[in-house]
Amino acid sequence: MTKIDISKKALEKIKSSRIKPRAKWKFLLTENLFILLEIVLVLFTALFFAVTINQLIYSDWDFYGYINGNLFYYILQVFPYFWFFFLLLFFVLTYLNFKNLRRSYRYSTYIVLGTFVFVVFSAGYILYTIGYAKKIDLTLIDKSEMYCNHVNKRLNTWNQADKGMIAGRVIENKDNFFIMHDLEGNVWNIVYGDSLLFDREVINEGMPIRLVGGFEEKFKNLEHNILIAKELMQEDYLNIKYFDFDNLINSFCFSDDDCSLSFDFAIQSRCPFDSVCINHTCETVCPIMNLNSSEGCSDVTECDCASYLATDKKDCICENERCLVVVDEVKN
Amino acid sequence: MILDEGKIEKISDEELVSKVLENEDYFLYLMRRYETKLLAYILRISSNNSEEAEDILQDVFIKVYKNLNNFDTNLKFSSWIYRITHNEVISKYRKNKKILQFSDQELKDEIFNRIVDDFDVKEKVDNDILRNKLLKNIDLLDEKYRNVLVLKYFEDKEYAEISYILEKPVGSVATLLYRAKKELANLLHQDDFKK
Repeated sequence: MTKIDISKKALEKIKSSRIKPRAKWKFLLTENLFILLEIVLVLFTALFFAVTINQLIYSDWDFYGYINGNLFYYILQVFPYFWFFFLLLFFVLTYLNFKNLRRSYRYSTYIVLGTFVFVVFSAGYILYTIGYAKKIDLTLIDKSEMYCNHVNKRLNTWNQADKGMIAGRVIENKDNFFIMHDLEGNVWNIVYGDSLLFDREVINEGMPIRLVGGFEEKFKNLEHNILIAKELMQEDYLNIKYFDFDNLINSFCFSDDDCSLSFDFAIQSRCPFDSVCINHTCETVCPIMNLNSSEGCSDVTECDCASYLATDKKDCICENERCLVVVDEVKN
Repeated sequence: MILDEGKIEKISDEELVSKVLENEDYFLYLMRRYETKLLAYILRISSNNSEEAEDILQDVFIKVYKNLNNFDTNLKFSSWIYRITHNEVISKYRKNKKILQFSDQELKDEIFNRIVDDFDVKEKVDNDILRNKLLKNIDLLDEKYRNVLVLKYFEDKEYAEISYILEKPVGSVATLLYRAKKELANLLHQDDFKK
């Protein structure tokens, strides 16, 4: 084949195969699609970076000693592998797509990668700062059980009552303890531990908190959920639901001051009902007559419990020299 | 209506591209301008099989025609067609899992002098011996070095053009060329030592 033959042959093939130049708009469309794809990829990479740092920051570093004693293993435990994987994947895709752009060859790999890192970090930081990463994370925590179990396990971390790790909201603050509900709505009585540094004055109703506590032998036989708080922090990340606890009955107590008479008994005229602390439990009682003397009782046998005729009688006791009929509130 | 050949020779590649888009027959003139150069280029950067090179060149021309609307008129047409040729050679050779090899039967005086001047070869050897040594040792170079040397010395391309053809930044081209020259100088020196 001579050199002329090649050109002629090529032209003949073009003509015989009816080859036409591809339309300009198709090239422009392809090019612009690649540019658009690049912008989208950069945004997604930045978003994955934002969620990665967000999850890293909100990883309970202040509690790592309780969750996992070893910092190294704790980092391995809480590292956001899921988001980091997508961050890397999209970073690579962004780079590969960039290589398809018309003038990308002009820039060295170092400059391109350096620019990507800068753009992704900056945009990611902005997305993190405006709370977008947090919003995504919390939405997924709320909507997906799989996400909670495998990606951001923070919700599960603070739902381990058996290990003394709970998060929730404060219902009421008392002198020596406070009442809170956990993430599932269970009521807990949190006794201030000796080592607790948290300012108890700050604790107020509705406050979201997370804490690490321990169980104490002397409270084990009580019906209440009781934890001795070792470490406590305000929870400023998780969306903790509000549960309604208007009528807390048989609540935990240290003294009579911790108890208050429920409205149902306060309005009754058949007895001057009172609420007292008996064995760390607030009980509604009806004071009754002492058979032997007008002074205080020393034993329950001195109390005229038979004079209390209502069916809600639960027990008859002599407490602090007073004869008292303990009333079953459920039956009332 | 096709212009006469005398007029066609006077118009630039870029203008001829516009004419091709109006009438495909002009493409023949555009191809003729490059067929010799490109065939030589294909042969230099691939193995010495002229039939294969001609097939590649024909595919290059068809590809160029199909993509004419993608040609950026701000750039040189020659750079664009070299880039397509280079990519076509690489893709063909990768498809066939062959190794790209430099092959040039003879080193023209013009090219030889350019290399000798640029490499500052001050050896007191016969020019023919030096020519043979150069040809032999270029073939021993790594593919990336060979490509840049061929474009610079054999195709007489500027850095910006090499950058566009090889799709590498100008800085990388300069580095590659520097390393290629160094490598070639080493090979020439080793060759002398063996003797």
